[in-house]
Amino acid sequence: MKPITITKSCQLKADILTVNGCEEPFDFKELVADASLRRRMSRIVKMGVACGLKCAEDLPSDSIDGIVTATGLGCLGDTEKFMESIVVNNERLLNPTPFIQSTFNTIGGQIALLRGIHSYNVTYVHRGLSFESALIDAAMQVADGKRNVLLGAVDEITASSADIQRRLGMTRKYELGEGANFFVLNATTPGSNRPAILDIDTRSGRMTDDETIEWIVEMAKRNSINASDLCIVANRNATTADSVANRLSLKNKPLPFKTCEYHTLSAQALDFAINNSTANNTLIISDYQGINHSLILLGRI
Amino acid sequence: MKIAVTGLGAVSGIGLNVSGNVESLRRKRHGMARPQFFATELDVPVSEVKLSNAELAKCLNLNAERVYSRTALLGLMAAREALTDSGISTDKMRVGFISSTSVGGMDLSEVFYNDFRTDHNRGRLRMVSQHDCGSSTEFIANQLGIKGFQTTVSTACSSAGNAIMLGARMLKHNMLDAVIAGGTDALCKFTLNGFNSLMILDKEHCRPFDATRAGLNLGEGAGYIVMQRYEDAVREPYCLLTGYANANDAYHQTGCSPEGNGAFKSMSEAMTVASLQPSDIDYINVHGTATPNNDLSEATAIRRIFGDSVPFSSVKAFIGHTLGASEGIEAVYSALSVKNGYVYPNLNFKSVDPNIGLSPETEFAEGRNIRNVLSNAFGFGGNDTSLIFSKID
Repeated sequence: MKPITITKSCQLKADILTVNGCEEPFDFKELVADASLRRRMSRIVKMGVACGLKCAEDLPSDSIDGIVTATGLGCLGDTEKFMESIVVNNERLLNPTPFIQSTFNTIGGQIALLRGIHSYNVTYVHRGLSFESALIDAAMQVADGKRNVLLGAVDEITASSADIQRRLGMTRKYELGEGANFFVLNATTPGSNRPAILDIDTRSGRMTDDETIEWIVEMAKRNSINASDLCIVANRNATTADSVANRLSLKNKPLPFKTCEYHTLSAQALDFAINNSTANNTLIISDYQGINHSLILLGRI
Repeated sequence: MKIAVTGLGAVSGIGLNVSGNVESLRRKRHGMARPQFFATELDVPVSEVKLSNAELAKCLNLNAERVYSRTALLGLMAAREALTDSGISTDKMRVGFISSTSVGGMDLSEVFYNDFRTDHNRGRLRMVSQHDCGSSTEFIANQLGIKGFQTTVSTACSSAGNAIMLGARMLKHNMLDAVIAGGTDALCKFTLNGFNSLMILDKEHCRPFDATRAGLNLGEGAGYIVMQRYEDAVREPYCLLTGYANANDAYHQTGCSPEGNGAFKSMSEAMTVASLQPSDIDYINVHGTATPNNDLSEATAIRRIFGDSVPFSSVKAFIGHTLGASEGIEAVYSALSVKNGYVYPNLNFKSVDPNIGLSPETEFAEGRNIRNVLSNAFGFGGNDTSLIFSKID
């Protein structure tokens, strides 16, 4: 694939907004001036819309040729609110707002609405590969000549989802987390020394360490990179990363990415990698529950 | 590069497979009835697939002891039909599976929630572990032995159109050799109450484009198409997928702009992708939900591009609005339209709406020379998708 430049990255986590890795103050009231609209927005919608608007703020609306978003579980708070109202009110006279906002593409749609962006707008909801799916789509858009694509990922924890995930045993290794990440992607300008996506691949189902290593070597080879020059960022599975580092005799130690757990965590890993890795080539290895795997290869162009 | 449509699969309230659907369309047999496969207080017509979950599991040779979301069962039924129809084998090439859904396993989550809401330690976990949209996709892919790329799209009612579009683009980018793309959605209390709260459900049988239309009826089902590069097809393709586009109305979270700006843009761009002129489109499978707002807005956009000369119809009065599955099922219908010259009747149309001034097709026809079919799917969040299916020249 053609390299895709990332010209801006924004992250909103625990009410802290970072732009290209640096903390920035922000006021949601300035981003969304309409008070009644703000009031209707649930927490995840606010998180996503704030982060997305911040990331796109320097770009004229008509220069944004695509908005591609990802979420593992979508707007859970509103989903539960509407479910509860069905039970409590016995299916009568329900407030439609939580139903409307429970839709998975709410955040992408709201950003388009608030900024008047009429271009391509799609949302991916595929467990631990939601963000990767959105990234593949966005990369194809840029390769096809689209100018700027706004790529984002958002997930929220609620009290109910935390209790369910705990009962399902999904928190044995990690604390639960949440967050919003957005990126501006466009075609590479050579010589700009900006971080760029060189390759991305996904796999489904169980994988052994041997298979993972073979997969990494294959990706390095087709991008004419020496596998031993890679700097690894392990998204969740640090033991695999150590084993990969040993087996491939990597010159760099894996970069420690402190992980929590939510479906679109790879978006946070990407933000971390582009703002912290000094290596020429960085590889993000993600493993969600042992069944969703991805490799994202980064370089500087 | 030519993208060929080489396999079709559909299940809806009017048929359990593609031929069953066509037979009902031909005989004008709709699928509307009072809800019978989920509990609800609401007294509105819906188009349900006429089998219980246990019957569906049996048809699919699944272990009846296990719990499956209805979305997964319907999806497997249609996706398996499409894959078999295409004659491709999943282990000899890069076969992808791109599915869409608007509610995923919500039918099970609702049952779970009844116990869980008062005590978070209660509720059977197997009833909630299929809640997320990716669950049905992974289940279907595993059942079909698909090891390649998998993903799930969810953009409300245009979801399956976007899944098909992604599949075509991944073929063009040589990321896949074949792809099964479409969508699946089961009806449940959550969805029915959601649309009821928006006050856009008609208590009677819906009447797309009619002057007296008063809202939509919901439906459930699944539809998938198999796409391959034309030269790779192992069977004679039904047609080509030549155009696709998604655009955003950016007008309102749930309503459409009066000028139909998003629809105008998605239809225009799909024609640009296909290198076609408005005069090349011989039939439009409209979104046509039968809400006053959608049909007027869509008709306005159609007029702006095509004037009043292109035959069109909505199948929503047959199968209901099947949400995340709608463009999957309707893509199957559109592909057959090109292949066999089918035109589908727009049921319940009696009088022209003076604000629209257009009359849809009301009789089933076959053998017409249909070079290109345009198919629309529009959803919440201003999400508008148009696909174009074309004869193989």
